[in-house]
Amino acid sequence: MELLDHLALGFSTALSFNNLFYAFLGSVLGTLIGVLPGLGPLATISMLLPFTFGLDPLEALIMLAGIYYGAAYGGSTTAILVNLPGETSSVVTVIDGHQMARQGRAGVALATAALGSFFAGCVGTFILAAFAAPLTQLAFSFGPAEYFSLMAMGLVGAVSLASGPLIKSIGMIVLGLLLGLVGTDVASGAMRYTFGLPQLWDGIDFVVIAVGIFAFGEVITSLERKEIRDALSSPITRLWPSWQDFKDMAPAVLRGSAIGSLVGVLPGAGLSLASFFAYSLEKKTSRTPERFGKGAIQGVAGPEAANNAAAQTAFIPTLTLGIPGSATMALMLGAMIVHNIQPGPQVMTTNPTLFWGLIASMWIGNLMLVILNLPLVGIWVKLLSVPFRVLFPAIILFCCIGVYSVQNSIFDIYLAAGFGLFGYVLHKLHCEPAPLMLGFVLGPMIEENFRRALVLSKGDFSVFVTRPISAVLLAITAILLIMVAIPAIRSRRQEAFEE
Amino acid sequence: MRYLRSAIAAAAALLFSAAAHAEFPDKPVTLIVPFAAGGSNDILARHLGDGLSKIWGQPVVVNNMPGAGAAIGSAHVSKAAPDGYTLLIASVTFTMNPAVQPNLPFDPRKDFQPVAMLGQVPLVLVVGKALEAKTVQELVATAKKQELNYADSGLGTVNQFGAELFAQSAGITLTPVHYKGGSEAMTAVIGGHSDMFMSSMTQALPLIRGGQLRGLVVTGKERATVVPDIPTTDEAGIPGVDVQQWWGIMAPAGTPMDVVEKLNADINKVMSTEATKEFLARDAGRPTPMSVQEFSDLISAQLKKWPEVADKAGIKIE
Amino acid sequence: MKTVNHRDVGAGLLYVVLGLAFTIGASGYRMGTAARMGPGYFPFWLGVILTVIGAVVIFNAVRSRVAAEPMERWSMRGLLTVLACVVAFGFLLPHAGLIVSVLFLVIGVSFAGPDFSWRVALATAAVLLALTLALFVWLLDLQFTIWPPFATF
Repeated sequence: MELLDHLALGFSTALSFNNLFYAFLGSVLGTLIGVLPGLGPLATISMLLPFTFGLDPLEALIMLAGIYYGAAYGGSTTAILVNLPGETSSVVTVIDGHQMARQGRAGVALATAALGSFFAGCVGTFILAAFAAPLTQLAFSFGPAEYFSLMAMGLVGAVSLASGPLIKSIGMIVLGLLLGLVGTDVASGAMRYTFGLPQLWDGIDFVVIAVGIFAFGEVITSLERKEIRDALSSPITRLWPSWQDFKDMAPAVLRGSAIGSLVGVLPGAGLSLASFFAYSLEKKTSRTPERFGKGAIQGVAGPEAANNAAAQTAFIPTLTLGIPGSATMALMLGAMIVHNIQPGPQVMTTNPTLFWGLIASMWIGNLMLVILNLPLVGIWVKLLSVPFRVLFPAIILFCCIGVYSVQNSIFDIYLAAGFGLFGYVLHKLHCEPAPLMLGFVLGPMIEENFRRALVLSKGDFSVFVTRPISAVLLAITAILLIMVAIPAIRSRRQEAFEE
Repeated sequence: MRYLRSAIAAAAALLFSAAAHAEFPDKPVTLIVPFAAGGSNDILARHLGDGLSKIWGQPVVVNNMPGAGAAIGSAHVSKAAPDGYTLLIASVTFTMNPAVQPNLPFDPRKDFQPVAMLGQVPLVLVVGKALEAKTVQELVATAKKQELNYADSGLGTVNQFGAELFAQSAGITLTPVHYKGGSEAMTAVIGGHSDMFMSSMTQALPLIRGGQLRGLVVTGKERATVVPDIPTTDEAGIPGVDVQQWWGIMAPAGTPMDVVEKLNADINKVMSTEATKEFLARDAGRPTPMSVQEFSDLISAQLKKWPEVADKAGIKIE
Repeated sequence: MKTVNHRDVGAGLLYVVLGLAFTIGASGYRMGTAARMGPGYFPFWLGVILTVIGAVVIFNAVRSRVAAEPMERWSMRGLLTVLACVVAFGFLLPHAGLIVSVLFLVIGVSFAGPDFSWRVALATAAVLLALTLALFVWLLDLQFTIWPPFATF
């Protein structure tokens, strides 16, 4: 068994005292910074990156892996506790995770996220170790047509994120798509909706919208409504998941790990779509879909598992080819280059100690995280009992610093304030922000890939159905559309009937 | 306020110029990187900053100001006090942006004083499994028979200018397909979705070595030592594909010439050490020190050249 | 008593206004055709769709009467205080430095909170300032102007 030899080599490298220490240090720092509201994984990793510069390459990579998982987990913690997604993938964690927190089940939600992530991390690491080569090929079989079809599927799935009226959430998706178009149009270079401001040329940053709508909007709403403030500090009914909770979350974690491992391989789209797909799947297959959006544990377990599995397999194109699939991955790649490691097809053969050592340390990082965070669940939950008048200035302050630190841009702070007003209005009008966020992330990618596919096919629309992967994805999209439409029409009839 | 402050600064600079410059720098120098941390500009800036602070005994603060291509960071430096304490690390796109972007928040011709050239990396034309061409001649022959496309990392990027300059010199027409960033473009070429990519050597090298991509030709006159088998465009009979990725240091216009000269001398000192050579060689680059005059000439030549290429190729922002 | 759903009328209006704004904005860009889209095509039609959705939402809200519920209170105080302080923080950060900005922001937003007291606000501000300095300046070494410019002379 070649794989076993490789893993043995990896673990013998990673399990030295020094390396374990750096894995631990990385996880601790990653969690500590990542848990601050407004500091998403990207900001956290870029802030902590310089800490690894003084180490030797393997130690640095191991510490980075720890930081990476710590930051991701810290981000989930903020999503659950203060209703603020730090990156695209935690937008869905917010939906049910924060509801659980309001019902006094914050501890259960955090433990679910930690355990689900750990399991998915193990699966993802194993897949990374065993199937890196074939999965790399999968990533290449996706061209513009396939990406378009995949996003179309994600978009239809986005409808399931909402628990309110269908038409209103479709409106939010469309609005999100439009906001995503702000900035330079990749295909023509045109500056759209930038009002002559260079700060908008690159579009609006995810963190700016997330902080504005979720954090500022939420804080302002809580300021005027005592019942929301009280709900946050509602007594903890239970810190640990019960046996029933375990039974509820296990299948969701399994499904999430599977989806996440597969989708995560795709550069660009993978990491953001994995958790959305997992959430849609959980809601669609659930016998009690009405509980979603009101604190369903599957709504936390599935997406968190998918997210973490995808975070592992996202390393595949980065490691095997040196092609980063996301901004976070690009940062990790940059760090490797700083340490004189040029990831690429040869790394596996020229530097096996490093490659397998890193894979082993990913697993160790995951383990560290679960060991570190399960005891911390109690402490994080206690944070909720900090009086609101002390808590909310802290949230606002960290959000401001987080927004600023993404690009060292004052303009982004102003923009976030603007989205704060927008988020408050949405709150008042009961428009749900999660579909908007998905539309925002998918908008530019959908348009770009659609146009690119047509440039490549010289204007022939049939590419979307003649390419097999694309055709299958579109067929699934059509089926999903029908599934979404039928209940909506039925309930409309019902309504008319009752009148 | 700003005008007042810079007026005072200018007056002070005039008054104390001799004394002050003798000991430049007497406070920390800020090096603005107009891109996010982790990119080639950033890594090089940090290397240079280390070297300079050792010579000067003053810290060199590397500050990332990403956004709008490189426009935000560049605009910041163009408006900074012209005293040599705020510098920009620019790259070849500095001379390309004005060719396609009419409303830059600064004037690259008038707002900057070129200081020093750091180093250069050639571009390499790579193809993936979509094409059978083994040599650049075969590629040109194919392109004359059927419509081929190239991937680039966005409109008006060095990859697009490189590909268009190549097409113009070879007498062929290629269709641009714009991707968001070099990684996406590279993936598309490996996967066979796009035909070719005029990549920076840094990015393509591991994939050429790994066999995922075939390097057909290197831009310029000299072969790259990291891939000695790949011919240059000049050798392949396609002269004039004179495009290199380069990095250089710019100061705000109006910086006293003695400060600029001192900066140039010290930067060249750092760039010509063995350590720097090794550092750049890792990414297939090489240091190419120049005098202030040489670098200024290069900048004005390129500022003149790219609009012509853009005009011919029809590269323009709508 | 039954009445129109104010909230949905509001949401519909928001969609219509924003949809129209994006559509009008898009008409300034080249449209192209579906097969060769210009930069205006996608936003133009998305804007149109959003406008139509907004109209449908308004129509539904007016048609189906719901039990009247009092319109929620819009508290201008919290909204304005928080947003103004955030904007002020952005303005102060490069001009007055991190310390002044943090103190201003924390004490400022505290006014909007429940049971404001100077003692709590000052204590919170002091703790958060110490935390910010320790974490972002000392540990992470982020590039901030720390002191007001006049204090460095």
